[in-house]
Amino acid sequence: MKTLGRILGAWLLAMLFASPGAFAQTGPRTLILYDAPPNTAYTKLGFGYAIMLRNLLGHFDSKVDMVPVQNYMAGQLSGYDATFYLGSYYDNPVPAAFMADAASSSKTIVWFKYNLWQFAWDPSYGFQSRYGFNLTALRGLNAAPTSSNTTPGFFDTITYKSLPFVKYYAYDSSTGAVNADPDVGLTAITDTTKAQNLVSMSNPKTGEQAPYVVKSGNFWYVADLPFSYIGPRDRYLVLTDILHDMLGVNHAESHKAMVRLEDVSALVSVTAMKSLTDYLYQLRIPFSIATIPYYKDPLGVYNAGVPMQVPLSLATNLKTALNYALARGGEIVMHGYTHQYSNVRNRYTAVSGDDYEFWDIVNNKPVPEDSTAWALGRYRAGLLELNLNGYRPTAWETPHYHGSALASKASTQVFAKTYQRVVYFTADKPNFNASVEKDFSLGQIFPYPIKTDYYGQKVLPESLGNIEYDISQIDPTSFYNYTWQDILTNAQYVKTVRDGYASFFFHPFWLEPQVGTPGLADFKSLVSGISNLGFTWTVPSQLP
Amino acid sequence: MHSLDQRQAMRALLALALLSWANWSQASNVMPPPLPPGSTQIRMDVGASPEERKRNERAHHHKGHFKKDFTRDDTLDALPVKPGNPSPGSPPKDKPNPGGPFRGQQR
Repeated sequence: MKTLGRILGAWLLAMLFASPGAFAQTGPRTLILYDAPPNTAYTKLGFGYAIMLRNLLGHFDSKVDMVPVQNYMAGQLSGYDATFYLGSYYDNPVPAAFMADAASSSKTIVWFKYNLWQFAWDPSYGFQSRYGFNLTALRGLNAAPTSSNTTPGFFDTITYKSLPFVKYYAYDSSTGAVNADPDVGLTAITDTTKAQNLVSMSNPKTGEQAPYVVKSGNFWYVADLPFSYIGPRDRYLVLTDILHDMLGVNHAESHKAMVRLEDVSALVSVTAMKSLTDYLYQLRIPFSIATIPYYKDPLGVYNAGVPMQVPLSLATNLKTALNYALARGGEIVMHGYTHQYSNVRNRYTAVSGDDYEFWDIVNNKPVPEDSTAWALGRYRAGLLELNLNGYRPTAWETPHYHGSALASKASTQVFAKTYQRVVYFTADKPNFNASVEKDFSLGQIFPYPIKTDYYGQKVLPESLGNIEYDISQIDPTSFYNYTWQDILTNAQYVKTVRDGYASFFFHPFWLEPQVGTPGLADFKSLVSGISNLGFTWTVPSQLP
Repeated sequence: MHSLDQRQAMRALLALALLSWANWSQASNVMPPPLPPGSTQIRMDVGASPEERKRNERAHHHKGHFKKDFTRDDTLDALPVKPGNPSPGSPPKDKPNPGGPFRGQQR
């Protein structure tokens, strides 16, 4: 009995002093195999896709290993609950060892897009008799696009839970280039007792339909690699939901909503903030305020050429607005330190709220000072600014959602949560212009919280976007409309994800009379519309 | 010294043999399907579409912000609220409370 007591005591002590990491990642162990053919321009593209899948697996608290497929070792997949192969490079050699293991394993295998022919058409694996379906063809554009036939069509519509999800397509008539990812593996089910078509895709120009996601026992085939050209109504969302089934982690149907008032700095209109606060408070809807702690206009762009800076202690309007909101369900998200960089235009004016802070967008590379220490310095300066004035942010949001890899990693040392979309890179100091093995940046939208992403961040989602008006006559950077109805439609799409969040942001700026837009009315319509869809409102502080 | 060279040569041969086997074991036994039409025109990418990338960087300033007095409360420009007709968001007595004063009470 004494021994048992000692063991229990030791265990309790070990639990008490164990690092937080010891409790991390209790979900399924997963392996991502990706194409990385050496010495090509697209060597690192597969790694980019792997990062995106890895991030989604962070929703399931998965311990993920990412390995170039050519480095697969015989027997390796037996150490994982699920293995994903991302076929992103046409006819990249898939190791026989992997295919032999896949053919005999009872572990979950998910194969995406290309190269299934190496497995399915090699008789030595007995693919069709084992799985009850076969690959019949590789399909892409119905014809080569030309100036007289700019949209020849392809399997561009994926129907899921009665909604048509899209695949992006844009044709550049001046170069003939196509921004799209039209290729899909066409499959046919030959034995319905073994294989099921879970999701269908269609080719509106030809009228064809074909399986998009096929499941046969422990083996899944996704005809596409849904990590390219993504948006809020993209087929990417289908995968984010089906991952629950692939992993056997069936989160309950639950739909939360979040609203964030954006780019709130010293120049904020108190009237606009009070109007928005009053409306949300009336409905008992909690909300966030993306606050820029320190306002800077180093070139005097909005101050007749005279440099201007406003620390929070002097920003009386901002403090009035924040205090009013905080007493009525608002909470602060720290949105940069200054939301601009140095005294240079990075891309617009060098003014807070306009420019990038943690990325040199003009030259598309990290700023010269980029380092963990530099980013931490700015985070801590912003926090100090808030704290000295009595404010405690509940999360971090990177200006323009675009920070360097080092800055994103550093944020985890200061902030427990981030609340945003995120840009990731295939290297910490990326080279996007290399002729071979160039790097990629990838922006990712999340429909649900990610417990730990590739950079170690906990990410709360912003999934819908924001209302925009074309007011280019008075603000050249605001040149298109994105209506409240657009955002509401996005919310309908994200609701197909069983635990999808309807999360959007809104600029109080749209209520200012000089702008002349129906900002408040549209904001109300959107909030009301999202509520009517059955979402329940929350804020970062209420989320684990 | 001589035996060391021999051992190194043997290792190199062995490595070469393993590499050849590895390459052979990775070689596909089937012909791939043909690439679809227009494949050479395709620009592959990863992550958000160009439209979504642009949405992330709206900057919102206008001429009304020119030389704006960041200490003048613009609610003072509005008409005063009549007595007995409180504003819809009647202020609670609470002090600023990050996280919200009404968790779990939304309508």
